[in-house]
Amino acid sequence: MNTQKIKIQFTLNNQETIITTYPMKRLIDVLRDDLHLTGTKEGCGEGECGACAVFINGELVNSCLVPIIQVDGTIVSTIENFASDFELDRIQESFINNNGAQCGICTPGMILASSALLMKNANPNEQEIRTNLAGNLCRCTGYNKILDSVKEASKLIRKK
Amino acid sequence: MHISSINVYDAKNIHDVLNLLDKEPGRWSILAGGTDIMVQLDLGTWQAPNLINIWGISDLSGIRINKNEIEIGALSTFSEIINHPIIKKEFPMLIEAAMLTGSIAIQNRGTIGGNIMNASPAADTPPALLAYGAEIELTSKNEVRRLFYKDFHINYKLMRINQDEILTKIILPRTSNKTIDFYQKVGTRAAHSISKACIAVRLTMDKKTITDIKIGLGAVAPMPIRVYMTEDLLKGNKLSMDLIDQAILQIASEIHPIDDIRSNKAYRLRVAINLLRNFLKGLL
Amino acid sequence: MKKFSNLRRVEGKSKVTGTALFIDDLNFPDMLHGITVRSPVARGILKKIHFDPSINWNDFVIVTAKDIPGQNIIHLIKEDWPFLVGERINHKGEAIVLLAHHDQQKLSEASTKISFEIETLPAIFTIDDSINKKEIIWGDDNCFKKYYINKGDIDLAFKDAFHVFEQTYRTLHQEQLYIEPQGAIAAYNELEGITVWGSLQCPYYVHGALTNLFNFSNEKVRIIQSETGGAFGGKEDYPSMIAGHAALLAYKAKKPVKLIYKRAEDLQVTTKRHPSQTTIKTAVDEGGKLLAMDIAFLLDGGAYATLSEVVLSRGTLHAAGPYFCENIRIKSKVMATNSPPNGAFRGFGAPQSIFAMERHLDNVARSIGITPEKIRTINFIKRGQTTATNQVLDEKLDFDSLLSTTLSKLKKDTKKSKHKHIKSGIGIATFMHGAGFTGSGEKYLASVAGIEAMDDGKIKILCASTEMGQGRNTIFAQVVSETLGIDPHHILTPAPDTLEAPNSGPTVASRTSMIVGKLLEHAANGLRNTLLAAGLIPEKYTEAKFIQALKIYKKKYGTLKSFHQYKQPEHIKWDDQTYQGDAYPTFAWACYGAQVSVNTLTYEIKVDNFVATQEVGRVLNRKLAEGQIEGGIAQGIGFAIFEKAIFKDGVMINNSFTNYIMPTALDLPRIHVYFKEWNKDYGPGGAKGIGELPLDGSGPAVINAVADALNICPDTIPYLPEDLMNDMEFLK
Repeated sequence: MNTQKIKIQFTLNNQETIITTYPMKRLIDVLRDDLHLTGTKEGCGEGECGACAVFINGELVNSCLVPIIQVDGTIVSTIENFASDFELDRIQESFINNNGAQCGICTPGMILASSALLMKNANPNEQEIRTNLAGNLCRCTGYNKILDSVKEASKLIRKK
Repeated sequence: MHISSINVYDAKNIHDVLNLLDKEPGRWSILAGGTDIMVQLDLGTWQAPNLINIWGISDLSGIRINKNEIEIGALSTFSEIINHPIIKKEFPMLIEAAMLTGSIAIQNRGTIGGNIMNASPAADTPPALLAYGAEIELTSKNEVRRLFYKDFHINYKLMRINQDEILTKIILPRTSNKTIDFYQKVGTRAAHSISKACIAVRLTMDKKTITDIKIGLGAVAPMPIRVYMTEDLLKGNKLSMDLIDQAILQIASEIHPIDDIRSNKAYRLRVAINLLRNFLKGLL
Repeated sequence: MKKFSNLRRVEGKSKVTGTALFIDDLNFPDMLHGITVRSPVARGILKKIHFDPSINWNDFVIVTAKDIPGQNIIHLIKEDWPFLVGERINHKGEAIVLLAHHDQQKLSEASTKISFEIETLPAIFTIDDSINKKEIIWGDDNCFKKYYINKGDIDLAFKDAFHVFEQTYRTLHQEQLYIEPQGAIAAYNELEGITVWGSLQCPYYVHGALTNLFNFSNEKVRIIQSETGGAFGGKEDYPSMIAGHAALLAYKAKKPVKLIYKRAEDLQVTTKRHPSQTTIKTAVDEGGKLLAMDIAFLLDGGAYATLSEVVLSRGTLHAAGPYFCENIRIKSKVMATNSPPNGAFRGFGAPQSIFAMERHLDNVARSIGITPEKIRTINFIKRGQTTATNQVLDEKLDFDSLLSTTLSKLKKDTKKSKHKHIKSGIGIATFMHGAGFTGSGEKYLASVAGIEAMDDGKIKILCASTEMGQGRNTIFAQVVSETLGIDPHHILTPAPDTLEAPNSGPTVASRTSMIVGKLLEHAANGLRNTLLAAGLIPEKYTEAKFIQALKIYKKKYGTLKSFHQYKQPEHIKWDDQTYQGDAYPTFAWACYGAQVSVNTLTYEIKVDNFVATQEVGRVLNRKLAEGQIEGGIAQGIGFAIFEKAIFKDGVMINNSFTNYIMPTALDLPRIHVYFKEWNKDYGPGGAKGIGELPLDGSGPAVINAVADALNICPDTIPYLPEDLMNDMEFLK
């Protein structure tokens, strides 16, 4: 027996968004399947890899673990909201400069996690970066180049 | 069970929740931060069709500092706990446990109440709560009652909670005594891991005599446990190598770790013993 | 010539903005979803398929082996691997029924309503049971392939040896763990045939598999690579399976079908690194000089042959390490077991046999009382000396300098721990890795790659090599732009589409930069010569002049393409029958070192420092090259101390990210990478292959460091805290 679909209203990347769906639908599925925002990636479906990270009300979360009913009335921001139409964010630039993205599948989540860190600590040391990115698995880089990317971004942000 | 078969009641406040639990006890499961339920749903192993969504109910979150105790709303996230200066100062093992629970994205979403109610034997915060002698508050429509957390877990995923009750608070007793804390989680890797063995100890000492001690353990029994006989053996006695050896023998018979895909019985036992022994030796 | 060694990843922007389109990001109108229903048993005979009448099956597209229009065999090396079970089941999880439907919920429900009547047969899961023929499950003797290499006279050498040491070493399964699961989308129409989009390494492998599956001509199958979220060998052979399944469903449905694996399914059914068992018996003299090596190298191939014989070949050819020895015998076999086929994983057999040799040398050194550095220094192979296959190494070769660089960087960081229960140790591994295909492989492949001028003056690269994070796009853009003397932004590097990309071979074996890059260098020279001959550019030209010339040529003659085909240099001699001669055109040479601390209370191992020194010819692009080495080392450290796939009934049961443990940022040290650039005779600008190299030495370096810290002798990886505890208890 199917349950009732419900109406969910939230702000997604600065736009008021309304969708009608099952209350336990994963946020990632709403983003990717219903709203066609495919920048958010699914690696594992169990909150381990961090590829599906998004911001809800400014906090980093794994969108594969958030049921849409809990998104009602919130502000959601995804990788698609990160760069403006004209200019990449400094974190994105740093990832390109330092070869911080290889295959690219973990990259959107990695950039959001880096941003979450730099918002609360603009000058993290290497250990702090490692701790804050430990929820984002990367199989390509061994993390060296990601650490370099975050360090460069940190410098650029502080220079501003 | 597929998401289309899951019925969710979106509770607006605690009274909503209590009324529903009172009206249909046993029918409803609680959805807090979702970090465990969503995994099971996706794997197809989640079986309970009726959920009450309590996320966002402000009565259930928040941390209140009283003179003799700290009340942590069951819906407080790990991140909220980690960032609380007084908990950090007085209950550092809880902070450490919260920081070792999943990743930051998980800590932003996972709640301490959910961690307790999910009742994983390997959860990271329960050993700390046990060592601190925490109490919990269970609320039904007709009653608010307190229970020592040590008495809450009865067996694997079996707890002393009635079908019309919900976990509302975790209460940590404050103390002005000089205490010594020791917490160590041994997981499958340095971060973002599930515990293979976890120990939390709080004790007070007078000269070389342990005057009070509580030892909480995770991943070494079907549920988070205290080791009362080991505690009794250590309490009131002057600490010596001999006493430590006795305590080690005692704890070895008091815990019952298992073999599973993450580790094995022998390892869990040995690590629990090593950690306790090394900690106690450091106090000599 | 202007160099663009600092060229940033050309597809970087699409990756950091999330606009790069991976397979699950693609959708087509009226697309169905597919699902695979699999065998619940490891071995048996399929008698009947039951479809539960509670489901209206007319709603579903259903495919079984009977629906296959062509051959039910994945065309690879040996023809034994079926797309779908016909009658015989050879491993748990083998695909039997395919379903497609619009609605994924209905699909997953329906998939649970199919059951099978199977006559179960006894299965075997270990190399030993396979060799002992407990059951015959493949051919006459369960053996997919064996090799025999002989040099000198080992029996004589063992006779009067000062010291003989024999030990067996093992490595277990390792999962590639690309973060993007496997997936494919297929579409069919009568006019164009089958088109498949997929996350894959080797478009022409899939192409070959599908022409056979449908009995279609080459033109009726088209394979297009989507952005590929990591592969590491895991997307070398398996994409043929998943593409075949999607294609069968699409063919029957006459609609596009998307088939994406969930992580649990991916981990359970796709290929892993072959488990290995290597027994090494060596004779040394008083000083530690190697007099004889007798090596028996065994691999567990799983249920079907797939790439096993090539993996075995590479493992065999690397088994003797970078040491000179006059008497060597290597016998190797890959055996069948009832588990999903093991396949390609970065290193391709070499990490297994190199682990054994590098542990063995440390053991020998210890037993005769010399240091690990010393035994290596005494035995390092030198220019002019011969390998196990009697290949004469004729290039600058200075292992002593690689070793001293690594040791100097390691020692600097050594600190004594202030905690008594933390023990520190240092370990090294020295090794070589053959670049490109083994033996005559490149000759048979005869790869073709090329470039094409576009109307707007841009140059498009045409080849089947795939970008999967390793940097194919960037390196190719760099090579062509450097050769033509124009800026890299003029170079287009589209993902391969078999409609226009020639077969430049699979994207494997550390061959992409060295072999295909060199073809592109030649092709670019060809294109420039065409313009020169046409009188459109002078010998020395500006970029503007060159672009203008391209446009003029295009206008005048219509098309401007330049291709080049690989021709094996005359001096490379290899005999497939005797396994003698030049196994690889060249090798990368390396010495890795690890510093670890071991917690003797929790038995946890932490790698505190890692140093990787290697000679790889010209380093084309430093940041990309470092990224390759660092990432490979991370996988190697995982292989050594974290990643254990637990098998039951022949399939992985810890099949989730929670329970298969790969290192996080907190589990790894900063990895220090040093390059030497001695020999520049091979790839474009002198580059050799580097992709697989870092997997070879990182595992043994770490385990040698653990052995050093505690005076124990680990012989099996992954070496987890539980294993360390056992070894320490044993010492007591």
